[in-house]
Amino acid sequence: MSGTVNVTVDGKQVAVPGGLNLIEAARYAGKSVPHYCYHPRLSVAGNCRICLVEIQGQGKLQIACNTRVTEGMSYFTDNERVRKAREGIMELLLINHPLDCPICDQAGECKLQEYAVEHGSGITRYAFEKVRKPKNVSWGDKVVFDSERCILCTRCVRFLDEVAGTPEVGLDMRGEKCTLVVKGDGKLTSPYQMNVIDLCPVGALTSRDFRFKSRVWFMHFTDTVCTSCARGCNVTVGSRGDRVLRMVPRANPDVNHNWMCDHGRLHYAFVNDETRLTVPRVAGKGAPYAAAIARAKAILEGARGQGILAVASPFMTNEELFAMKELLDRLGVEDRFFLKPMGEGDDLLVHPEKCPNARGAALLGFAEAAAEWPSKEYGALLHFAPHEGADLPEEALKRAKRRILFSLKEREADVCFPLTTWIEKDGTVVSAGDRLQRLTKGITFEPTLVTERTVLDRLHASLDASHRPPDTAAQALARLAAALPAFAGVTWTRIGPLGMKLEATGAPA
Amino acid sequence: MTYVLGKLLHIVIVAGAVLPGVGAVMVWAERRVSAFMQDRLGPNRVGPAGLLQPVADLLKFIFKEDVIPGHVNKTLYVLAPVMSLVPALVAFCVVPYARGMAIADVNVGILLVFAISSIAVYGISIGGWASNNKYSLLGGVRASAQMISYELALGLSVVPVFLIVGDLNMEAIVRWQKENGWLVFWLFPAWVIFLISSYAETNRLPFDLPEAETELVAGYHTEYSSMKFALFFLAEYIHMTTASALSVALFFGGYELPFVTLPQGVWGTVLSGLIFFAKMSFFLFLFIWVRWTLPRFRYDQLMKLGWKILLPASLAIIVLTAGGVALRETLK
Amino acid sequence: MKTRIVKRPQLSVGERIYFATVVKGLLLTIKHFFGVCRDLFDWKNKKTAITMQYPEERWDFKDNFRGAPALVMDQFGREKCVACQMCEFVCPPKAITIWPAEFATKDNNVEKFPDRFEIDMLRCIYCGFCEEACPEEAIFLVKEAELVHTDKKDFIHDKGKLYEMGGIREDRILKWQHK
Ligand code: SF4
Ligand code: SF4
Ligand code: SF4
Ligand code: SF4
Ligand code: FES
Repeated sequence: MSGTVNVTVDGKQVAVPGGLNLIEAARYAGKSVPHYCYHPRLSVAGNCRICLVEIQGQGKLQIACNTRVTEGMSYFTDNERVRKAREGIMELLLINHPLDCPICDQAGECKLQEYAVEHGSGITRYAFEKVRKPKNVSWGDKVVFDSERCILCTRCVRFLDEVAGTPEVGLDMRGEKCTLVVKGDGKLTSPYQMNVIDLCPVGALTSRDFRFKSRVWFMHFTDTVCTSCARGCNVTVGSRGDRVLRMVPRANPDVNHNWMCDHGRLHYAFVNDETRLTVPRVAGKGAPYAAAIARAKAILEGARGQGILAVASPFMTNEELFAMKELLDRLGVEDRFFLKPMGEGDDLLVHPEKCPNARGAALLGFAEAAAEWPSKEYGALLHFAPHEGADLPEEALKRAKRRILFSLKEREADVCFPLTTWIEKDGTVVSAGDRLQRLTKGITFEPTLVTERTVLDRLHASLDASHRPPDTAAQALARLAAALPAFAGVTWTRIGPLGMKLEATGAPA
Repeated sequence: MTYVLGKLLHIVIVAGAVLPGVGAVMVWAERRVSAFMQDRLGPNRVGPAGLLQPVADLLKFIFKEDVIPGHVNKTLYVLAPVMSLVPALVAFCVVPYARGMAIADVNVGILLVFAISSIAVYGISIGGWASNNKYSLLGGVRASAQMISYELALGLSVVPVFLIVGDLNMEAIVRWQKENGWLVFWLFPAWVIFLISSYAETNRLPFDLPEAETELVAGYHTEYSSMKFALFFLAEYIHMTTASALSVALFFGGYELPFVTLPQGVWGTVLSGLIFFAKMSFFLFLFIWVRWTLPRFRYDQLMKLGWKILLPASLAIIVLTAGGVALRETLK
Repeated sequence: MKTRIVKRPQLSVGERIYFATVVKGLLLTIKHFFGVCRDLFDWKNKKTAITMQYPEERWDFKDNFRGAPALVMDQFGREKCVACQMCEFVCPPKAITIWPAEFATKDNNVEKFPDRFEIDMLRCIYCGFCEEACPEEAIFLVKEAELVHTDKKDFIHDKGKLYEMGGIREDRILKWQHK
């Protein structure tokens, strides 16, 4: 595993790190070797045989996934012999494969389809009745298994064993009867079980939640970050018609590898909730933004003498928090808090902080709310209600004469602005380990909705005509980076799709 | 008094009902006949055999929005269709369409027709000018040049008739033919010139250059719509009717039949009227028939035909006829 | 470049006098005129008239005629469409909208069906792509071509209407029979 070795891939010489297998080494030569059972984060099983390559000097074709590079090795990923072998493997895999593509959720992102087109011969010589195996088998309330579509690559088996630590699926029987079974009552228990759906190269494992909701080619994909806990797993959100339909993990070696937890994956219903607030409410009645902002301005100005309580939410992005900070600075507000929802964590991914940006709120000068609220009376409350977790206690709410709330659902307040969710705006959050990551806008829930940063900025501008708010999230971030040393040198592009560590905070990784 | 009232009633019936009625039927016939000649059926849905189609067309014309474009000379623009229609109606007044049934049985009958129908050209040229549109203007200019050119040939082609009959009165001409046979047998070339010129005078194909859709959009009535357009349209058909009626009266024995003596009294009048209309219908049909057979002339061809062929030819016929008549008189 | 000079054909005297040709033309048109007149009395064996009297007479569309798209059932009266949405995807003007659903019971191999299936005939361009794309042979362009409604809503053909137009076409695979 040390140093580099020189290999020749399809006649092209490349130097690759030692210890790589032939699939990974071929990437250095710009070649891709098809593979089903091999996964870079799982142990090698070597059972699908689609990765066969010809190594010079060896009579038989070898599987690329289970062979490591050696100095001076030369192999072919695309010569006549290899192509013929792949054709054979494809024909074999498809012998008993059902004609399910029209009803199979994997269609469109199915490796079997892709390789059949790319490497298959397009014909089958098998003219007999196909083997029938159990279909539409429920593996609990999250995963549905179809044995006919399974190519027995054992990725799912290995994942649950090696990554999730719950070895609950295994192979049963042999030959054409070979199928997968789940231990015990046949239901999966792992809180990471839905990763097998993404891992499965075919449509044998499908998501109960996403099942038949949309074909993948209709969907719009957005690379963003999961906000269900402070880990900030990188995800790709699939949406259609401005509604979120599914979330799948996006590989990020520094955060979540290729996985995410089931809770985060299924936690998006609040985005699509049609009863969400979409227009501001003033004294319980719908009002245009201009009117609501004017009313909020009047409240804040009227309460200046009596003190204002500001409670932010750790679901806000840094840019929103910064806009709030600017507004509070302008109003001279001292009491700035945020509420942090807490829960259980585990040692794989799940973080006990059940919000994406508690660290960011702290960095921006908001204090974590203590159990005891200051017993002061306030003229006004400016409060961003958290999406979930404990909200401000009633006693704290009562302390303020007038209330300006930002909330997902309608709440009793003098002015209630609608919140937008994480997939409706651009911004940054500080995830666990002081990692700055980007959120990307994927849907427009309702064209009338205005994001919180804009509301705060417009409110600010109404109080102070000299306030020139930034336009885009990138501009807001630049302003924030210029103002706070913890964010020094940060730019939107520098963060990149995979995020970056905030070195200046000095936190351990 | 009764005479005046009777005449008025006569005028109202002829100008208000018979001629527009003939025009309406002609619209229908034009479409049906042209369809038949092109192996189609034409309008056959509104009323029996589509006969009520003109009514539908009329309703459409009436209910269409009456657009007066902003750039036109409004007074003349509105006046033009009327100026085109009225002479067409008036010219018919001297035609004896049944025995003793001309509205005005004047001695200079045929001259009156020519005098009045040449006013009609004003309707067209003014319409073209008032529209303030290059296509309309060209159409109007073409119309006036064409009318002036062919009026000569038209007028000269009937002079032999007068030479032979020795009278300008239409009734007298009809009577002469009853006694001596149809004039067309005597003056066939003159009739041909008369026919050709009348096609040019009525702006019908192959001489419809003032409209010439393929060149001038719609010529002088490009800017006209709704009822105003309908008036132009009607004027053209009434002109055709008058031209056909003249053809019948001057060359084809008028309301009389050869070898048959019509009874006296009311029945005779009715019968003579029917005969006249039957003969006229043939000429109207001929108008349509020719239109759907012949292509349009080029303008230079039109002018050449008028000035270089028809005019000399009709002059020659006059001279020959005059000689003949002189001979006849000397021999007598 | 080689130029070729084309001489204007010289007209003979007869042609220039023009009368003979006029008469010839008149005879031709009148021949057609009387031909159609004759046809009017014996419309069944018409010889000259070529038009079709539309509402009474209609085209006998050929089998590959591309009329309105419709859904078909198999010989057992079962829905063939499995809501794969290929047609929805391929449809150029986006006339098709499908709401897929899962069968409540697991008594067959199909799993999926269109809960709602709508074709907006005001958008459809009768291209036949849907028929071509359908992997289940469930949608066909039938001979229905005269869609006249007074309400725009009626142009949105729902599942009931689509099956009514489509009728039955034999299926060879019968996927739903396998349990
Ligand atoms: S697993 Fe792939 S090939 Fe098999 S039915 Fe599904 S989409 Fe088609
Ligand atoms: S279910 Fe999918 S991942 Fe599991 S063995 Fe079968 S094909 Fe592989
Ligand atoms: S025929 Fe073409 S336009 Fe019409 S529904 Fe089918 S695919 Fe769409
Ligand atoms: S392509 Fe065929 S099976 Fe698929 S949704 Fe359309 S009609 Fe149904
Ligand atoms: S990827 Fe190598 S055998 Fe499956």
